[in-house]
Amino acid sequence: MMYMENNWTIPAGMRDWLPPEAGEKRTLVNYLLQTMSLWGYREIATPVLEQFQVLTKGESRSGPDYLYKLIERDGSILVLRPEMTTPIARVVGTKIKGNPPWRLMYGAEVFRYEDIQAGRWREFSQAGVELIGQSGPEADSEVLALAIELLQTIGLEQFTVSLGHTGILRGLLESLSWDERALDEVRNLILEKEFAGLYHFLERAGLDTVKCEELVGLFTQPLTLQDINRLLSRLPSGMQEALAETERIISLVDSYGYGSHLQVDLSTLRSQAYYTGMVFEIYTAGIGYPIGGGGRYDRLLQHFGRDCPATGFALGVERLLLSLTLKKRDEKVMLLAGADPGGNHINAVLKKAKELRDKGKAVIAELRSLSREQAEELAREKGAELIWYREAEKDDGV
Amino acid sequence: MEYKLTIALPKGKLFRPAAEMLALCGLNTRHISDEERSLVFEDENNGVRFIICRPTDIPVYVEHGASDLGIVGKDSIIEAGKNLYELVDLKFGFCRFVLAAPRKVLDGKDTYPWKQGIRIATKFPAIAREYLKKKGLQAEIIKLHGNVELAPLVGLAEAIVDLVSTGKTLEQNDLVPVEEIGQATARLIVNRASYRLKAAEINELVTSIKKNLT
Repeated sequence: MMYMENNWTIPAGMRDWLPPEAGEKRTLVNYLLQTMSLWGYREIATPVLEQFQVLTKGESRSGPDYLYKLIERDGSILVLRPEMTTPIARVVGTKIKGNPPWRLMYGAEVFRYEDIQAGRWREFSQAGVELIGQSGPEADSEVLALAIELLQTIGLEQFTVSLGHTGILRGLLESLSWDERALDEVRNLILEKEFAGLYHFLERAGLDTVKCEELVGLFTQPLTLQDINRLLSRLPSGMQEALAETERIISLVDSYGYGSHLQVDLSTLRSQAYYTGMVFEIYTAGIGYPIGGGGRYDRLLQHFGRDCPATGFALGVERLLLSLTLKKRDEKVMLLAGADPGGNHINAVLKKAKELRDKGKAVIAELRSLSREQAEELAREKGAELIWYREAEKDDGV
Repeated sequence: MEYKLTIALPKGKLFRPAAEMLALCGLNTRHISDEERSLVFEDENNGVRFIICRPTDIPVYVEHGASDLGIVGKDSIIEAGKNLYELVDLKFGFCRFVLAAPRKVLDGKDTYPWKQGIRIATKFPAIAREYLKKKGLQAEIIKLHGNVELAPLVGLAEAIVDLVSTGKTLEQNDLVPVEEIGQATARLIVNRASYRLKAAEINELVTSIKKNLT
């Protein structure tokens, strides 16, 4: 067999969305936004392209970055947005009116030049919220509870929200009276999740075995509330504060009735450098990466001229689609067709189509004159229900 | 059947010690082998599945969650540069990374005469690049997939960066280790989602491994 050569490829990491998947994706995003709006969040949209300087405010990644870049005609560098939090911070910092807090939501495409993963292309969709201008565990627990409610209402059954706090790592580093280089090494080992290496490093730095075990254990063992209480008095003050705050957040999420989905896991550290407080990632069975995540970022807004605290999260829409056994919409499209060489069926078809569409039904109005066989074939092909008109006068078909 | 855990084991010299260590932890690994055609084995009683793959592929399987856990050398982890949890140093499979050069170039000197345009052949370009960066040196890196010691003999490269366990291979090819770059042992790596969703099973195994290490 010969294959036709097909040169019409799309850029690596991009994908087309065909029916029915494209529709399922939009339905999911709409559903998420609708639920967010029930919590008082309002939609915000920003351009796909941003100035390079804007997007690097929130990030301090060294080495090759993962941004798609373009050169503007005046020579400046433009970037396809890799996430929505920084662009929204820019808008709130420079344009939004009124007083905090602001509850904002979005569903948008973002772009990252990364390895392709399951449910993650280089262009992918995120749906999320930002609660800007309010600090404290009340705001953090609200976004956590909203994230959990969203996942529950779309029918995701098994998922875990692992909760961490950037203050734990910060407190740990502050408590070690070591030089900057050693602290950097510890920070990197923890961020890279090299816990075997961390153990060696702490051991070599002169910590005794018990202390090494305890510190590494803090980052590698899931903690219960009892563990937190037991640890509270024994840790340096910076870490104590972070743990106490985590505890308050958990008890508030409990009040929403969603506590059972939370798991305290201090190894949860997001890659974005802008996070300052609680951070979380959401995992579900069968997908090897988080399907969503977020946290508190109290210092990002000040780059854009408005010093205010903020918290939020984003869900990966394609990853959600993968993990959902979506309730397929049963409603079939209808095909209105008729056979009349004189074209007299047209008025009847159009009238009926309008009537059905006004009732919210999906209708294909076929104005060509088809034979019964042709119409049946077309209906089969498109998965449609056929309504057949033989003559112009017969208004109601069949 | 639904498996509680999937564990990826590396073909080659780490395979036996890895299988033996898991046997000590109560898993049935007696029947598995890295020399058969079959690449998937089961321990039905414990609900564990083993997959056998190339060491360099193990970080990939684990990162994507196709395997919950993996046992692999630190060298492969560094080269892969993946987002993984590295939980336990398993202590076996010790080897060293060295920069090695032909004996006649060194000619009794103990430092390598660096000059412009030097080419380094290696299976570990990421490690070689990091080493050069730390030393502030410049060299071209030529990535090979095996038997790197051949490269200096036939003029493909001036020096090599390679893993050495006994040093015999270097010696047979008239190469001398110039500098140790780092050390590697086998590690237990974990997928970040599995680590959260299968916390109890994984912690049980980790505790058991740690007990058997001491």
